[in-house]
Amino acid sequence: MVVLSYILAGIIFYGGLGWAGDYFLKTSWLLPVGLILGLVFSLYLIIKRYGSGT
Amino acid sequence: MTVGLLPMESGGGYQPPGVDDFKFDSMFPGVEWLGWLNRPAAQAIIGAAIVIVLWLIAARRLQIKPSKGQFAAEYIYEFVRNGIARDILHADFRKFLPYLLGLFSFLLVNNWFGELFVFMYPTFSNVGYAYGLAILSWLIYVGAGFKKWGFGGFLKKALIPEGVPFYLLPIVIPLEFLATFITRPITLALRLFANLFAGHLVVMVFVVGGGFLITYADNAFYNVAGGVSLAFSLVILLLELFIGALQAYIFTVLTAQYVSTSIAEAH
Repeated sequence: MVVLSYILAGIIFYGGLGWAGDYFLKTSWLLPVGLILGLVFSLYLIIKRYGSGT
Repeated sequence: MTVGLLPMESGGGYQPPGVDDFKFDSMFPGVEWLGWLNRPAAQAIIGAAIVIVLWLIAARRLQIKPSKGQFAAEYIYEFVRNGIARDILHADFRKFLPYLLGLFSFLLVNNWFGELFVFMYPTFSNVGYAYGLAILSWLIYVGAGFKKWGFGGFLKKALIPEGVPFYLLPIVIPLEFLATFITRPITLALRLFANLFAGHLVVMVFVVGGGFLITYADNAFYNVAGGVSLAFSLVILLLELFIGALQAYIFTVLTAQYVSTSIAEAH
């Protein structure tokens, strides 16, 4: 329940950056890359925050 | 006239329930200064009054050998105090217990309004009320963090996770900021709102559709199906009782959890 906000934050932030990049650079591959990178970073953050540390 | 396979497909005067059933006009049209008072607002006020009055009654004339009412009140109180506040907040739970208890009982009463016959509408299936409570919880957990650690101290604690190498910090700090200050209250509010909205909509579909089918002329099969649908709506109502209590519990637990992450000692 608590980690949901991290996942959303990652997808929104980096997906948003990717969308903005697509919009201004007239490309079409930055949005999916941003979405996936955002998910990866938020999972990394969740593991760092709530993982057992081993 | 087109005839569909299903009676509702061809129209036939059937109005399916939808989002419009969640919009209410003022309860006293024409009275200028009461224009803001629609049904959810009235329910929220009544709910708050019920919570206040019930706890005032429960706190009076406490006896060593409790009566039935006192037993019930103590059961809820201990459930919130031991099961939520003390479990999550440990030593600091006393400061936040009044808010958590008030939050839990207010949510419980308002969610159960959806199943009570006078009201038949859960207040928090209106998204604005859910946002209001989420903002209140946000103010409490952010305020508690600022009070304990100071402005910079809390920002440092909330934004910089431990064990992350410095070259990754620019990548994760925006995420921490968004997660702590933006998406937390939004998910808190939307979880409560969506559960109650969907639940109430399902009940309405069964009741309105069943009522339409059971009064459908010259078709015994539709009438039987309508009767089954109406009977099943009672089962859904019981499920909604459970979901109302569950969502009140989850909202309270998550608020306590957020307060706990903002005031917990670093380790």
